[in-house]
Amino acid sequence: MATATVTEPLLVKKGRPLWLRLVLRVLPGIVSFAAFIGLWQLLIVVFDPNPILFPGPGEVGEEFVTAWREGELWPAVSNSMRAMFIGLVISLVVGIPLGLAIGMSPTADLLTSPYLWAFFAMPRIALAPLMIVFFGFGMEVKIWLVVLSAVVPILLSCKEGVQTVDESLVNAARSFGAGRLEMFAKVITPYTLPFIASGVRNGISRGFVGLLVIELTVGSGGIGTEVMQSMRNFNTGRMFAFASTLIAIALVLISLSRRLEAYASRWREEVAV
Amino acid sequence: MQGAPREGREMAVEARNVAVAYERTRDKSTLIALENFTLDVAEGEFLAIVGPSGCGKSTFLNVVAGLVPAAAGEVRVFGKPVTGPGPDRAVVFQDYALMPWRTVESNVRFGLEMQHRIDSGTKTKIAEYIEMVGLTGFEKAYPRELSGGMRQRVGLARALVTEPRLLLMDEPFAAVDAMTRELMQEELTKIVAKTGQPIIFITHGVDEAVTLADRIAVVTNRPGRIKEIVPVDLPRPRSRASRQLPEFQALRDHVWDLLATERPAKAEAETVTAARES
Repeated sequence: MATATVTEPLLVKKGRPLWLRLVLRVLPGIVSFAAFIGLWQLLIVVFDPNPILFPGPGEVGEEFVTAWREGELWPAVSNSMRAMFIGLVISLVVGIPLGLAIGMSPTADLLTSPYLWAFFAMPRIALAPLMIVFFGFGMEVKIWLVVLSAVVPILLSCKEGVQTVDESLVNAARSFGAGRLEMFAKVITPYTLPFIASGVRNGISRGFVGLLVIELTVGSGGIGTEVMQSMRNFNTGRMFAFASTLIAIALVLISLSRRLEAYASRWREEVAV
Repeated sequence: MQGAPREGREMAVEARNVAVAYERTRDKSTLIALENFTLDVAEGEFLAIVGPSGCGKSTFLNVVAGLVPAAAGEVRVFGKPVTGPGPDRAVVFQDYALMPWRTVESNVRFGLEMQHRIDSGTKTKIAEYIEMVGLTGFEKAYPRELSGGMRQRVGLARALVTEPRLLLMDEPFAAVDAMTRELMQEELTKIVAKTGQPIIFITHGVDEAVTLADRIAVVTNRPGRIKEIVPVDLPRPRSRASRQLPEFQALRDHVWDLLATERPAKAEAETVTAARES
């Protein structure tokens, strides 16, 4: 059969070997990081600030190694990550089904929307004191603040996804006799997947903020608490060491969630960033 | 020869005094899309419906498909009253309505999945219909990687693979370019010669209707009614050359004359909305 409109599909790009592609992929990061450290050291050399106020990369590196050797770094990281992980899982388990359900019911949407948006707009920090009163100073309060921070963006994203499902796809499914369950499983959910992923990304970054708020203010353990304690002891090197660990973790989380989002949206024509 | 439906021949579609009304979301006024719409489609017949935009022709198709309920009147498909969608019918949509997250193969499978008809033979069947619409080699491609014409081939395969007794096509080639449209018309003719089911084909294109159809139902302005049914007694197979025949041109002029008196009464913007609503 003639196929005059055919365009070549899925041309596989050949060429560079795997090792070279890997190198080219990490190289910009390494170069940029080296340049950053260099610039930092340059500032130290040129202005020679008081190391207690502004430590150089050398001091921070040293503190980092010390913290690692003394077994302070890993417990703090694992403590923070545990709160983050548990909080996130709870947020997903609650937020996704609830968001999908609210999206499918106009009445539920009407009833819950004002509260959800109010909650979304409110700074979660405002809830911290209340959460402390409820849950004390330990792990629990951190998990709760992660949940409170992450669940609403996840929920709202899912809801939005369901509400923007392409009507023509729904009609097509109906024309083939799709029931409610099939519509949900084979049209609405796949369509909503990119929205869910972007909700997760949002939830991670907001949950992270919530986690830090507690760790910095309450001293319930974790990286934030270590940062705070180092500052109280005027150990800025150590403070920077923990803060950079925090930044590294945040970067990894964000890049992972962006990848998840890109994967979930790979079928879309325009990819949301 | 497929002309007007004859006595005793089984009717694929019998529509009697069908009416459909919508409520406009804007001002809650009622929009009557169809009124007293009576039309028969015979077994094996290719029926084209043409009419001004917003006249309700797509609405009629949706009623037959079971997607829109009739407010009055009755529609029977193979003798059974339509109460909803059914596996005896399949629709090809103007905007393709392919699942963008599914590959060509998986999209073709979609209808069978909805109808719980996946079995060991499904794979072969899907391959067969993908070949029929000329998409072999594109099984793993996503809709976004395909041109409009190719997407509609997928839409056609998705409908045909369910082996419907009646095929409903809602302006299927309206969104593809003119060259592709010609090609698709030719291929559709060949395909339906093989599959053989009756077709209701909604179109804006008078040439398209005359090229493809056994009969053309011309619909009036909204509320849509049948203005005239024009039998197309041109020999098959029809090709581009057929368009040079004086009979072809006479038919085309006749249909155009019927339409000329049915210009959309109100502003185009409104009819566009109505068309979307239908």
